[in-house]
Amino acid sequence: MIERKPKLPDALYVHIPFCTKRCHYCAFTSFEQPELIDRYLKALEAEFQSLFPTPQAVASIYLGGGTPTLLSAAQLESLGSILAKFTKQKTNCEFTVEANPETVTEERFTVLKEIGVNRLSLGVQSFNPQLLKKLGRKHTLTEIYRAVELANKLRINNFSLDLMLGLPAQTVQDVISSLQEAVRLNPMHLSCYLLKVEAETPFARALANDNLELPTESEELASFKVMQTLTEYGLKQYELSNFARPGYKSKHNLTYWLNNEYYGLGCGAHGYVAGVRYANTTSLMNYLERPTVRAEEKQVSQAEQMENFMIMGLRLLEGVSFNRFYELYNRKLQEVFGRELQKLAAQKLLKITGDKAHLTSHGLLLSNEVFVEFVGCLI
Amino acid sequence: MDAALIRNFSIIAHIDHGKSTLADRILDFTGVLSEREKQDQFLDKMDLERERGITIKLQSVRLPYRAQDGQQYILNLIDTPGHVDFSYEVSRSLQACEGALLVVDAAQGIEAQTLANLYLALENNLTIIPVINKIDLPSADPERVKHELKKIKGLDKCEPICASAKTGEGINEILEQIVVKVPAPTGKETAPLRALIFDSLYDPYKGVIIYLRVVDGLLQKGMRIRLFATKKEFDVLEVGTYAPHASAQETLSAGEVGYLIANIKSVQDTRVGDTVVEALNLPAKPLPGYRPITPMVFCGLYPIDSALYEDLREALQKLLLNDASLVYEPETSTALGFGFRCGFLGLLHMEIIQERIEREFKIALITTAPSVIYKVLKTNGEVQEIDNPHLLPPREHIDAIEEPYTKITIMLPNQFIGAVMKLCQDKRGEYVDLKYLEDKRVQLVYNIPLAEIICDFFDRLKSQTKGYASLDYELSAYQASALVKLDILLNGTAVDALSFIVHKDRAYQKGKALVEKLKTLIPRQMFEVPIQAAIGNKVIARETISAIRKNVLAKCYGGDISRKRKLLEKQKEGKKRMKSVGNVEVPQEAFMAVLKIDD
Repeated sequence: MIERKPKLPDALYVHIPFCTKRCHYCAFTSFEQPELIDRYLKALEAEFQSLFPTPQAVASIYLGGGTPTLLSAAQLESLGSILAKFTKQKTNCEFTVEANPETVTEERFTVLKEIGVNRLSLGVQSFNPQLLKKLGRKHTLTEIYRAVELANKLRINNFSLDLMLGLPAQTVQDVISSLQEAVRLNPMHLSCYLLKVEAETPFARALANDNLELPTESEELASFKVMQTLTEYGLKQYELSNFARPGYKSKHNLTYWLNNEYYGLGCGAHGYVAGVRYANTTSLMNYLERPTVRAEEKQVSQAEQMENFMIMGLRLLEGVSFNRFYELYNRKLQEVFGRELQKLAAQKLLKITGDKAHLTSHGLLLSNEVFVEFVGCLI
Repeated sequence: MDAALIRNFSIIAHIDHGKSTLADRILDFTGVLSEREKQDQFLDKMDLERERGITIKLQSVRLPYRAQDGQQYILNLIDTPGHVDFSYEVSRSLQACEGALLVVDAAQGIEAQTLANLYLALENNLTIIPVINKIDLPSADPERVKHELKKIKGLDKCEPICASAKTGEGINEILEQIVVKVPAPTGKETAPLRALIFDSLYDPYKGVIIYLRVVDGLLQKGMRIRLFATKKEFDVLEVGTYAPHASAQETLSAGEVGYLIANIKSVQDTRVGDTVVEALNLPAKPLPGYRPITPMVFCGLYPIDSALYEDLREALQKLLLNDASLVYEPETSTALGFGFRCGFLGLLHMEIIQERIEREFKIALITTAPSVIYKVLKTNGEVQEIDNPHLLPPREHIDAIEEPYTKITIMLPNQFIGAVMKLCQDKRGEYVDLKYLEDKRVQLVYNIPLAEIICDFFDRLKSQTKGYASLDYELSAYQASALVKLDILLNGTAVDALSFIVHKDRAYQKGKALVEKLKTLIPRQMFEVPIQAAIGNKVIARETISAIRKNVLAKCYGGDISRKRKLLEKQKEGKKRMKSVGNVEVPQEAFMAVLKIDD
C-alpha cells in the first residue's frame, strides 16, 4: 500500500526529561530535579497551546524520557488532560509510555490506562543484577517481574522490553540467558541494541581511563547472531534493533524509519514538520522560561530528504519501496541512487527484491557502510 | 646613478637567527616603510613563508641612507632564501652583491648552513661583515660566538658587530660599516649590457618580473634584450627599483639593482643565474656561474579524485609560471591512475609545492614517497636513469645500480657525537671528517646516499640532538650500491606506487617495518587484506588486516537523524581522503609510510 504524505504529522513525541539518577551510559536530555516537574508540565502546556490552536488529530503518541513514570499519578493525570485538551486521538491510536521498572506502581499504571495509554516500553536493559548495577540502573529483577505482572493485570498487554547488549564484560552466555528471560515474559515487542559509549558520559570517562572492559568484536558478533534467533520465538526482526510479534510493530517508531513527519514537544525534543527539522533547547531552565522558542530549525532540502529516506528506511528489514520513493519525490529511486545501489549490491550488502531495496544479512551487520554511501551523495 | 654611492649586500643567516627581523629593522631605520606597512617581516611576501618563518622567494629592496660622511648612499638589500634546498639561488643572490652581513645568533653560534653560505660568499669575493644578533637574550654569549667566528678562515681579522634586531642596538653601526667596508660596484657603464638575474616572479597582470643586478652597461626602457641561456629576445617595457614599492625609472646602470618587465610569459624563460644582454650589442661573454637547475628529489603527485587530473595539470602549469626549478611530466600508475612525476630541488621544495596545490588549487593529493635518480647499468651496456623505483628493470638485466651521494656537514654540540655518528652509519654514511669548532661544538662530515637524506634524516637528526644540530648538504658523486627493489602487495596485487629501492642488507628489516606500518595506516575493509613485501617473487614480510565484521547497532529514533547524519558525514569525510587501489581503500599517509618507519 502506498502511504500518501500527510499534510500535517499525526505522530506526536513528548519528552519527559527527568530521572532520579542518570544511568552511566546515557547521553539523552535528562535532569535529576523531579521538584521541577510541575513547572515543566506548565511549560509543556504552553508549548502545546502555541503549536495546536485547535486539537491535533494523532495516530500515535510516544511519551519518552528521561523517565516519564517518574511523574506522580497526579502529575500523569495533568499530563493526560493536556494531551486531551490539545490532541484528538484517532481510532486505534498507539499511545506508548516508557517506564522504568522501579517507578511502576498500580496507581500510576491505572492513571496511564485512564488517559489512553495502550502500549508500554519497559526499560529492562538486562536480567543480570551485576550488569544492571554497572549500567547505573535503579531497578532490581523483582521490580521487572512486578512491572510485567501489573501490566498484565491492568491489561496493557501490548508491552515492549528494551534490552542492551554488548555491555561491559558481558558474556555471550549472559546474552543468551537475558534474551531467554525476556522471551519468557511474553512481550509483544522487543528492542535490542548494542551499547554505544557516548561522549561525556561516565562510561566515556571510564573508557578513557581504560576502566571499561567492552566485549570484543567477535563477542558482539555472537550476541548479534543470538539476538536474531528471537525470530524462532515469534518475535520477528523488522528493524535493525527491533523485533515484534505479527501486528505489533511500533507504529510510532515506523514514522521515523519511513522518514515521515512528526511533532516533538518538550525540553530537548526533536520534531519534523512541514519540511523543517527542529530541535528544542536542551537546557531545562531555558525551556521552562521560553517553551515556545526553538533552539534549531532547518529546512530539509529534497536532496537531503531523499538521502534520509534511504538512511532511515534501510534500517527496516523489508527495505525501502521504489514506488513510495516515486510517490514522495516524483523521481525514480534507481536514477537518483543508481550508482550507490549498484555498488552496494556488488558488495552483497544490499539486495533488490520486487519493489524493495533492502539490506542482506551481511548488510545488517555492516549497516553503517551502507548508510555512508547515501549521506551527502546528493548534497 | 653614481656607482660610487651604491652598496649592494645580502644577509646570510641560519633560520631563526633573526635575518628577517634584522632586514625589517634596517628598512625601518632607513625610513622607507609607512607605519601601516611595518608589519613583521616585510620581505617575506608569501603566506607560506610567513607561516613557516622561512624565506623561499627572494626579494630585494633599495634603501636611501645618509651616512656619517654626509653623503647620500643607495643601499640595495638582496634577500636570500634560508634553506639548503635553494643554495644555488643563494649563490646567485650573493653574486649580485659586493658584501654580505653574516648574522649569527648570540646564543646559538654559527650553524652548518650559515657556514656553507659564508663559503659561497667568500668564493664570490664578498666583503663579510659579521653581526652577532640577539644580544638582548638572557642566554646570549657574544664572547663565545666571537671566538667561534674568529676561528673561521677568512673571518679571523673581522671584528663582529654586536646587535639586537629586536631593540635596534647596533643597526646604525651595521649601516655605517656597509658604507665603509663594502666596496662600491666596479662595472663599466660604457661596456655592453650584462645584468645578472637573481630571481623572477610571475605577475598575472605584468607577466614575468625579473629581479636583476646590472653588472656592466645600461639597461633602459624600449631596449631589445636577449636572455643569454634561453636565447629568448624581448622588448623592455619597464625598468625600476623597489624602494620598497616598485618605482619605474628610465634606466638602470652598472651597479644598480632593480627589476625588469618585458612581456615575458613564463619564468621558464628567465633562469636564475642567466645574463640579460642587449640583443644588438652582445658582450663577449655572459656573466660566469650560470647552471641549469637540476631537480634532486622526485615523487609522483596524483589527484585522489581521478576526475581532477586536468585540474592538477593546470595547477602545475600555473606553479611553473613562477617556479623555474619545478619539473613535471605525466605519469601513469596502475594503482593511482593518471598523475605526474615531479622533480624538486629538495624536500622542502616538494612539501611547498604539494601544500600550494592542496591549498591554492584545492586538489587533494596522493604523494608517493620521494625518490632520487638512480643510474642503472644494464647488462646490454646501456645506462638507464630512473626517477621512479617502479621502473627499475628486472634484476637479471641489471649489472649495477649507482645512486647519488651527498657530502653532508653537520654542526652539533659534542655530547651528541655518538648518537649522530650512529645515525649516519645507520643511514649508510661513510665517515669523512670530524673537527672541533670550539670546546663544545663539532663539525662532522659524512658522505651519505641522497636517498637516505631525503627520507627522514633531518627529522631524526633533530630529535637525536634535541634540535641543536644543523645540516648542510651538497651533491658529491654517483656511487655503486647493492640496491634492490622492494614491492608491496595489497590483497595479492603489487602496488606500483608503493615500490621503493632499498639497500640489499636492509631490505628484510625495511620490508617488515613497512608492512607493519601499513597495517596501522590502512583501515579495516569489508574483507581481509593481506599486505606483503616482496623482492622479485620472494615474499619477505607479511601482515594481515582483518575484515570489519560488524558496526555498532545503536538506538536510532527520530531526533537522532541529525546526529546520525553527522557521524556518517564524518565517516564519509575520512573516505574521501582515501584512494581506491584495486578494491582496497588506502589513505594518503600510506604512500608516505616508507618515510615514517623506524628501522
